[in-house]
Amino acid sequence: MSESLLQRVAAGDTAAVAACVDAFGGLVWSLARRLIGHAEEAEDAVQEVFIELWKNAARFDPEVAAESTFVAMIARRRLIDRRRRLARRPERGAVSVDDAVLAAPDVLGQVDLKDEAAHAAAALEQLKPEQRHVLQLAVCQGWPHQVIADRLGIPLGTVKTHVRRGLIKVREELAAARKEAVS
Amino acid sequence: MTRPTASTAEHLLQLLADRVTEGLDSAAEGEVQALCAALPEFHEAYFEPAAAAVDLALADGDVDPLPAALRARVLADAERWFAGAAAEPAAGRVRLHRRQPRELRGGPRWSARAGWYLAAAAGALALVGWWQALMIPAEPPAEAPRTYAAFVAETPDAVHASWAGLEPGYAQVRGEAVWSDARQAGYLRLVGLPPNDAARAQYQLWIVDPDRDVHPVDGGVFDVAATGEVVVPIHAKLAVDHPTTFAITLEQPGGVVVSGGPLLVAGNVAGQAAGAG
Repeated sequence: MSESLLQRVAAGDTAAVAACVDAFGGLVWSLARRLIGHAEEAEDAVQEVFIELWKNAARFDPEVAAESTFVAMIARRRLIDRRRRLARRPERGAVSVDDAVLAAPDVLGQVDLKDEAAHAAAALEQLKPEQRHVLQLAVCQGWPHQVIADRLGIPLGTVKTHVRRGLIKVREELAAARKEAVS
Repeated sequence: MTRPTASTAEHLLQLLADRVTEGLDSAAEGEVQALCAALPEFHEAYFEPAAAAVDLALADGDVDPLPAALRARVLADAERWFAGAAAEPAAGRVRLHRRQPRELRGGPRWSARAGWYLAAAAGALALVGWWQALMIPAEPPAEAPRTYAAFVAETPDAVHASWAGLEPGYAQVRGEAVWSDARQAGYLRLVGLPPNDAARAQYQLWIVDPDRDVHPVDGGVFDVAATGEVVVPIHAKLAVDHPTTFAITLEQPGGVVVSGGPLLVAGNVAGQAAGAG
């Protein structure tokens, strides 16, 4: 089995670095744009995320998660922390609710979803439309829970419950898939 | 101690869900740390894979290409980082070229100011934050009391380090850092640390553990809202086994990977400061 990009990076294969940037640069940049919003801050954040990635490359275990999931985890952690410190609302997240509803993807209709993303899509499909929509706004668009509650006209507690239960559902799906994979 | 209830677990799950969507302030992070210690089936990164997977599933296709100029900067950062790591592991970490508050630029190197405080760091020239292990959660730490007073009272094996100000404006700082290897938890108690404007800069704690690595461990960022006593839980991002020195810098909001700023306040663990003075 060939080594992943991150495993090659961890092993000191400098040629893999550029390949890694090309493979995941768009993902990290898109996450930064969505979660940070401000372009200059997003650019700084992308640089930080990649340094984090180089530092943590050796921790990547392909038997635990897909590379894209690992990269997204590192990126999200850094970006959420940075956004909270900046106390700025994501500019791109400030789309209208109608836009967000229209943009809500048909998760089963997507192709090329692999590994954790595919299992997450399966779990999301089991949620009620409102739950899935709230989870999308909170996780993908980075909207604060109170903003989601205000814009959707539902109680803050309901928003939080949707987010919590949605993540529990996805986590259970991922755990079941992993268990099945090793059995 | 009272056994955690189901509602406690539900509360922790909500905090963990908030953590991967909105982020948490330092107080809530401390609460998460304490609750995770009490409920070892949970950990701080509990929902991170799920949130990442949701992001990838729902945002699939919404990927913009990395701008060419930014790609070039990322590659340049990488080249410096790897070149430094290969040439001199102790100091081989890139310093990102990014905008910083003007008042944080050009300060004296803290390695020069700190003197004996950095002796335990075996010549480390820059502080490198090593973020928490991502895929393999650390062993659940022993349950930690949730207040500074209770921690000190109930943790006789905790080590103590008294603060000393090293920069003008910080000479009045008093207090201590307390840390328990067994609990993997601790607190900072600070008196006289000047308030910071969190929108412009935040205090960041660093923990020197030469048995672990020459690079200090990031202890998290915190704010001081007013003069007087401040108590802050320590959020070590990696396991700390034998800390010898605790130090505080003032960094851009959110903290930094590499600190070039002056060491403002530091404290050596009692009995650990070879050549002190």
